[in-house]
Amino acid sequence: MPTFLKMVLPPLVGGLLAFLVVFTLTWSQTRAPDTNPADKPVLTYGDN
Amino acid sequence: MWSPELNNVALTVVTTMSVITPARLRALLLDAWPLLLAVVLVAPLYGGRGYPIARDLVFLPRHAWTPAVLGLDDAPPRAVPLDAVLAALTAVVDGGILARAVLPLVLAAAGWGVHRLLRDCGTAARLAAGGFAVWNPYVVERLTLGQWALLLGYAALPWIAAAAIRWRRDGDRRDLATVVLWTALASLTPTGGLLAVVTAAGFAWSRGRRVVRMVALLAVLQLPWLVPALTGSGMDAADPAGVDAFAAHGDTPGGFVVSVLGLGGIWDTRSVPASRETWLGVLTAVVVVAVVALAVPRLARLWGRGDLVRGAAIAAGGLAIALLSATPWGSEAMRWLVVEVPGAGLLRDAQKFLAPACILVAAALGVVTELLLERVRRHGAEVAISAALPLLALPVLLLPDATSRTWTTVGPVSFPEGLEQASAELSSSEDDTAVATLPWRSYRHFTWANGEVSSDPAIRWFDRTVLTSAELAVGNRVIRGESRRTTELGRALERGRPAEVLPEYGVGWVLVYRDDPDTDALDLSGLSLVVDDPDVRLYKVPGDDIESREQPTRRVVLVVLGDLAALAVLCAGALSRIRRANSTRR
Repeated sequence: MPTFLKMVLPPLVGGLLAFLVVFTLTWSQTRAPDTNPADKPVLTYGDN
Repeated sequence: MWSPELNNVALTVVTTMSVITPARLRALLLDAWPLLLAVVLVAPLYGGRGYPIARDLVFLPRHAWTPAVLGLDDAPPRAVPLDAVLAALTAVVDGGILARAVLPLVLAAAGWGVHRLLRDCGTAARLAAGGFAVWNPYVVERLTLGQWALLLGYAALPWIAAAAIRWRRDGDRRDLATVVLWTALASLTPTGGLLAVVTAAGFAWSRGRRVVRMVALLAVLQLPWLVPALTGSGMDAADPAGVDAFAAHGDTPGGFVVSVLGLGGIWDTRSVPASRETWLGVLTAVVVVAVVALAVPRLARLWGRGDLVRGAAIAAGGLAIALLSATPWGSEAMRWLVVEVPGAGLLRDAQKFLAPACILVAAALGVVTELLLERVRRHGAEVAISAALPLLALPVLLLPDATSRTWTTVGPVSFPEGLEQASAELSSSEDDTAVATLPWRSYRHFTWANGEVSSDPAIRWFDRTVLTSAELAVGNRVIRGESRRTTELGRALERGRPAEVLPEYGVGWVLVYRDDPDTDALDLSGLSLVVDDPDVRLYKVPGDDIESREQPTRRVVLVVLGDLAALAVLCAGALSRIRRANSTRR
């Protein structure tokens, strides 16, 4: 394998895999409902 | 076929290549990475026409010049002198263009400043530090809340720290001027000013007179908001209920301590990216604590032990305020402060004081990257790159859904034509009575906006005093506003028809937002319709004897003097910087 590919490929593949895993996990755990269940506009400055 | 044109192109490419030295390429890369992340965080700004207006973020085509932009009204000067600066800038540049230029630059400036604190480190270390300064829970949550001016204060901190250290050591006036200029930018809001002054004083602290001289100049820069705050007679003390509402909040499964240690913990759950509520939020806190612990010895070598202690003390102070606000006795003490000490309401949103800690953590991440690379470099370049890349990507890996929140806030919106018509009508009117916007509320949900609540654009759009409710609804709590006039007006509107109660408060005009769910319940009888638009209606309150409320002359004089003094210090700083730059070039 050329030296350039040897240097670039592992971190690229690793970074891509890490991003995919993190993004998939986050996506699966945090998906919001399509519509606002309260069905009315939020009028508060914030929530806590 | 070879041609003279191709020859010219080739010559240009060769010339350009020779100009881009490795050092310049490195400098370009170091500044490009934070800018790229900043642009990603505000990307929707470039996807369509319009103006960002959501939460506290308000950019209008043109911000009006009113006494309120100088703090000459009955509200606490929270956006003073920011509103005055925006009014001046949008008189020359359209607010939409200004937003597209300013927002990414503010965020990127934080990264540019932090990587310059690590001048003696390698490229990877500086990239990691610069990237984390832009993409972290604090920046993302505050940007989602629309508090870009606070982030300007945050971005100024590393620049102020570096220049204050140089001023303490060398006494070069150029560095004093740099501190003055960055502090002026940070002081567009009171919180930014406070953070800047504390940071500058902390890093310049010594037995000599230099720190006194510097703090005196920086104190003058605070006069534009300090004088209106101290001379306002129409303001009540801040509502102590706001202390609990705006205290740091647990936004991770680990509770509020873990959340704050992970540089998050904002009071508003709607500003929190969903990933913070998963194990990633806890992991961020672990990474932050580990990175700081590992970086301390090297940071002490890089900056010197004294400056590391100074930086750590400032960061720890902010962290302590954020953590204490959420403890029972801390919140009790804060409630007392808010009621008894004028201006202490500034402290109630305590999580914002994490700003210096974020800067320190970003620098620490850079140092840890450097340490790691030193260890793995002997195993080969491919191993070093494999180790460095995840650290560069760490901010995004720890907060992969940051844009899910920030994009909602910064998405541009087209204003209804009725607002411009109403503005033109008011400008052509000879009376200078105030406008009240109805239904009576502070933050609104517009059907023509992007789904988030926003501050009322009329306040900054119309060239006269605009009165809205100052009460803030946070969850089920209602935080009373500080303006006595609007509090009394709100109560009066509950008792009587607008046409009857408004003249007593100097209100001659009413703007009604037709998309508000409570609009149908308004009794607008007795008002004269002037502008009829599908989204807004402007009414004239009948009566020729409505008197506008004037501010006391003494207050006006004091505020203007404070502004002029601050402007003089700013100009002196700028001139000194320019003069010194020219003399260095010669």
